Amino acid sequence: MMREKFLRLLNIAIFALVLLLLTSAQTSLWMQIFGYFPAPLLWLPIIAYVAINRTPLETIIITQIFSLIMAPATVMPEGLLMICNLGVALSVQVFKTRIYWNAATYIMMVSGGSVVLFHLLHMLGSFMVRMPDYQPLTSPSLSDWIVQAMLTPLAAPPIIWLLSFIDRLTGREMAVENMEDSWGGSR
Amino acid sequence: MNFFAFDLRKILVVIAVVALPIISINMKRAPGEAPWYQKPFSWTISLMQDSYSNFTSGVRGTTSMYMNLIGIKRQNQSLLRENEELRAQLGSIEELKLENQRLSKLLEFREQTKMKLLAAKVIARDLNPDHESIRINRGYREGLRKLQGIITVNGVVGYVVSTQMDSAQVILLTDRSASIDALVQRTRARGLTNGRSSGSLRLRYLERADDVAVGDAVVTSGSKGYFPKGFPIGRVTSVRKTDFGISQEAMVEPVVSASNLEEVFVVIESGNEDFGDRLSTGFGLPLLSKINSGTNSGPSSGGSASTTPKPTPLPQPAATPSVSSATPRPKPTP
Repeated sequence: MMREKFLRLLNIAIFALVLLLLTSAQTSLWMQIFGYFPAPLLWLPIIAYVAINRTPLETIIITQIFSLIMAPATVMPEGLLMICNLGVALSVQVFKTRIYWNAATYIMMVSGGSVVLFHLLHMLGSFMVRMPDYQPLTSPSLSDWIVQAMLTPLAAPPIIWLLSFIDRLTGREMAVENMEDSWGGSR
Repeated sequence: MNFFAFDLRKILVVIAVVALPIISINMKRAPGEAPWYQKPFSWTISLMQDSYSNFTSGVRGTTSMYMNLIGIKRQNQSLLRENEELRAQLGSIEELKLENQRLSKLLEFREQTKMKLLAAKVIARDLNPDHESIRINRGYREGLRKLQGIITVNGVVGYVVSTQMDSAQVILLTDRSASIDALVQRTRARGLTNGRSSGSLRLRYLERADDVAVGDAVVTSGSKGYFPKGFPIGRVTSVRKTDFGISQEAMVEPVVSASNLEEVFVVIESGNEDFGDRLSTGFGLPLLSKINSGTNSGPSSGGSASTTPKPTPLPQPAATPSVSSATPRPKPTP
């Protein structure tokens, strides 16, 4: 039992480390190489993977932890980032109960959809946030959204492969099989 | 036995066989061209030999060409590699040269100003592309604090919103949540710039009676000391005044583009520096000089800042009752 808990925590810790690495790569490495060309949102495949392979409770906890880890990399309010990430994660879970196939194309599709959903949630959320210095997003850069929605799915397969490898390493591969009933749905 | 009984045909054949070499030898002795009977053979042979010769020389040529080609290919590859290496070296030299120019410019600027500046390098950009912020490689260990101004030689970049030990998050002027107290340089009309997340700014809360024209330079007000006074922010591209209301707003194109930021300065102390005095001297601010000399097209905009009469200090926008009653003022801005 102790070992199982340890492995679970280790799994989250390694996922968090991967998230940090990818977030840094997106914000810094990409900028060094491609300048200000829109970067793929590399954290979204991780959120999508967690949403697909974990129970809702775990998804909520992990997503919130991840949002806190990512928050220093943006001027976006933490709360809004958490809401957007949570919205994406839970939407992916609900989507999975309706449509699912076990292939790389699925995760690519979900990643691409997550990018659009994240931006829409952010735009919607920006009108609801009432903070002294915060202004709503009235003129979104749609071209950036499109480029990101195309680039993120391309980056998703290796990330998913890495996460599955970590899952296998920490004995988490059964999580996928046990989560279907959590929403009362089936594949 | 009949001694004379011989076969005449055999004798003729023997004579012919014996005679042919003799005739041939005799004919060869004679100078001149080959005998007539050799002509067809020699033509055929020469044709064959020529063909063989051509064939072998062709083969030899092709072979040697092929062999040469292998060599040329190798040589070409090596030359291409060398060319690429040289080009890379040239590129890095060019990069170093440009960096050197940039840094020299920064150093010159730093030496000529009273401000206490700290040079910083841009290390990352915002996670979310709908926000415009950058991260710099200086943190509170080097004395950075929230709201400190970030500038380049050309103009204002943004200000610090959060600091970590060795890095700080800087919100760019063009972010929709960023706002800076600003002045229209020509008329000293005071307003507040707001980013539009599309590479442009809005100068808001200008009084309706304020004289603002397209091409006017917009500079920092210098209040609160986060930025030096009169430092360039941008240039007015359009002015919007509705039929009703007590204020007007202008669209401003920032002088600093976020897309090519590499090194910036953190204004640790502005030292009450006023750049309005230096505009006419062309001090280290090429873009600002350009704005002042070339784009101010209004009737009273011809003069530089030195000829523009310095107005008396205007009240803080937040304290203007007409403005605050019309639109709620955001939190104090740098």
